[in-house]
Amino acid sequence: MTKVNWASRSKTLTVILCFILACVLPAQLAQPEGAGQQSDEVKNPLAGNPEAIKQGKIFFNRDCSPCHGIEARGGRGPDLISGRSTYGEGDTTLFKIISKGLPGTEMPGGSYKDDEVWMIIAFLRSLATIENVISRDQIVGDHYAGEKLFVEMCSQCHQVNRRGGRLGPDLSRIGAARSISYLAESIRQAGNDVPRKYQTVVAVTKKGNRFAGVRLNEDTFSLQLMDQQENFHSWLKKDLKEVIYEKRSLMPDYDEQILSQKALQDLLTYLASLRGKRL
Amino acid sequence: MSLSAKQKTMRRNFSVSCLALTIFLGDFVWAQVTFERLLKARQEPHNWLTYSGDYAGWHHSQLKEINAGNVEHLAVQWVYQSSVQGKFEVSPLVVDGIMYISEINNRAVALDARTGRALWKYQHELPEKVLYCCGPVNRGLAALGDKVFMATLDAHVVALDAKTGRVMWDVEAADYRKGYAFTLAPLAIKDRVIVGVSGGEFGIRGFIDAYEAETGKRIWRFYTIPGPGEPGNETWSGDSWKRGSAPAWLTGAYDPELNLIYWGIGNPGPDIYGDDRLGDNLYSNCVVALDADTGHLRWYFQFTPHDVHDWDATLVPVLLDLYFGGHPRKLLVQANRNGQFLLAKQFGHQTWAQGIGPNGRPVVLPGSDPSPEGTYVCPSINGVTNWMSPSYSPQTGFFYVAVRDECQVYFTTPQPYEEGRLFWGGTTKNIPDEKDRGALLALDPLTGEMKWEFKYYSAPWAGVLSTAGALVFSADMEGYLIALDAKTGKSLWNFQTGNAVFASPITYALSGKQYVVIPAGAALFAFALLDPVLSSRGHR
Repeated sequence: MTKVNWASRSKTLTVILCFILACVLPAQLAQPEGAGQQSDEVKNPLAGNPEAIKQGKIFFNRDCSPCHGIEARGGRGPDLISGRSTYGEGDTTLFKIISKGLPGTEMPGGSYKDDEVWMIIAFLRSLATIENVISRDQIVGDHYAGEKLFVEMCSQCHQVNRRGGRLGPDLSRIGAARSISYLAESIRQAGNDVPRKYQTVVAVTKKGNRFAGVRLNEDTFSLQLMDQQENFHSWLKKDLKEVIYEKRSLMPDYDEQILSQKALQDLLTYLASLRGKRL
Repeated sequence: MSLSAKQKTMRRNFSVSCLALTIFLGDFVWAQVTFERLLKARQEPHNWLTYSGDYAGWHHSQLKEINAGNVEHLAVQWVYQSSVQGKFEVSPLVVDGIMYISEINNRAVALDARTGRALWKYQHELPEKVLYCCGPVNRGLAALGDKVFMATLDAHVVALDAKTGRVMWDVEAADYRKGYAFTLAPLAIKDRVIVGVSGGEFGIRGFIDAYEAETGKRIWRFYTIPGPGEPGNETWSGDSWKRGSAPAWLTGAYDPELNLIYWGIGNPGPDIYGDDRLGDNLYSNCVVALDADTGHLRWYFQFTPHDVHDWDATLVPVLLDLYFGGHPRKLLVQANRNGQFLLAKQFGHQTWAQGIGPNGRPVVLPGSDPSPEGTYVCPSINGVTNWMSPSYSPQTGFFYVAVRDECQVYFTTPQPYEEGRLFWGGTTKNIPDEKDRGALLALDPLTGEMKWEFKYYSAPWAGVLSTAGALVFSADMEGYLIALDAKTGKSLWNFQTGNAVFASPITYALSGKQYVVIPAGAALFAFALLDPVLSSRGHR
């Protein structure tokens, strides 16, 4: 009877499994649910058409640039010419995303005709010149050092993959949702562009006690707030002396005294790797 | 089989416990909704017989069981859950203990107004693809004789037997594939039913129709855009009148003494881009007065000539007989979507017009037109107010209106007309993170002077009900039904319904008990004063 070396066999199995996964996963990641298979890939009929690119730019600047930035370099929405996309980069995928939006993200669907969507895609492709792509945010820090920094400095308020605090935005897919330069600015000058949802609200009670936090709900009659220790507060407005709306973030500015340039690079490297799970 | 006949059958066949139920249901005393009754709707405040509660658009009730002294004891009596989520915009009718509502996608339902339980349901069969700009909504039914009437998303007008929901007639007013649709509650007068068409975002040619209540035969049609050779056609450059929209999608008012109906007309199309339709674009953005017998135009007033901001003037005209300048006058008040002076006065925004010139035309500020690069203008495309009902209370003499404080950037995108396709000619965007606000205002209808203001957290989509109990009821986007002191605006009571409100509250009474009704989310809530006797029985 041959003695089976389970330890070695299990290693072999793991290697095989990893190989299979390595082959399968990228294809799956590039093909989110609902997106066409490779064979369904449709080519943009207006690719390279100068008139289409011009019209696509008008649509893009009007409808997309508020989030994705002028020239699609990213802002509150992802950089669209970096070549990094969670959902796949093919024309078919882009077409579906622009037409129908991405449920579970901030990306809404547009009410475009098909040829208008192709115009927008033609415009986006025209931006992806070699110079543009090469000069994109190149970030080469220490991923693990970045992750350690994140756990120490950020996770009290931010979640990644369901771990961490709830005061600030969930960052599980922030690498897909924001450009590196936007993230760097958000760390160095946290108050520069704060979505309303995360702007600081200060409730002043009749006795003069002040509670600063983020708004969970607000309406004509009441206010629910989470303070920096993640305590919930609920007031009827008639019981408050004042509600103060501040544009600032509760997050401090992490300047070079607190976070060196090297540490920032490490942290950004980690954040850029956060692509979330398949939605 | 009539309801009372049904009761008789039940009584014969069922046990004593069923008998009690029979007697209870037997409270429905069926009576025809005659034109006489509609004329004197205010004299039967236990009912809510028309969209606005009366012909004058007051949205007011003489009921006063619920008042400032007891409103804090209001409690939910029943909740009706509709079948579809979406904007539940209905203003229910109540006729002798039966409530008639319409739901999203043209389902008409009769409810027992005491329990909220359905008596019949009618689902209008819609084609696979109907066209609408703003959701498959319907704002309610009209009642006349033994019928109720619904105007549908596929541009049909349907008469139903009020007792059974059976279809009595169903006529097609226009081709839904071209963007014609109905979302309004019809207005029943004399022997006829008046409807105005929706489709202002599809390049339709708007109209108001009158149909024989008995047969569905069309009596007259008033085109809201004059054809070639008719006065007003010259206010449209080229052939733009053919696709100039000017819909008429909200229920108008009626003055029986003058035999005139007053109806608000919507925006010209394309909504945002006006260079292809130069001129004043009559009768878009007007209130028109039409002879109820013939549909002939008696007069018009245009609030926003050559509109490029989608500021329909469709909103409910309110008819008041008041002393003005020392003389008794018949007045028409409309809280208009363009809200030109209100915005500047109330919210402190630089708005699009300096005021109203001596000829009644707005004095437009330069730089207010939409542009390819975007032009920031107040109010937003939704207007300072919209279709939600205002209210007039003869008790306080105040005109109540829910107002929206919201601005937007207007972009033009010229586009060719294509049948059945949205024809906006542009788009609008909100400034990111710029919070909309709102308020309920009490105004002097003679001067526009503000008497009080109740501030909302967000811009509202709910109308106002005033009552002789010295109360006004309204609701907000965060789901509160609210009751305010009609004289002072003081907040007296509120209830969190759990969803945004896109409707106007109404009130009725049964067996001397007053109810207040509001749709919120997909549900219809009915409130009444907590009866201490009933509640103590409930605890036994």
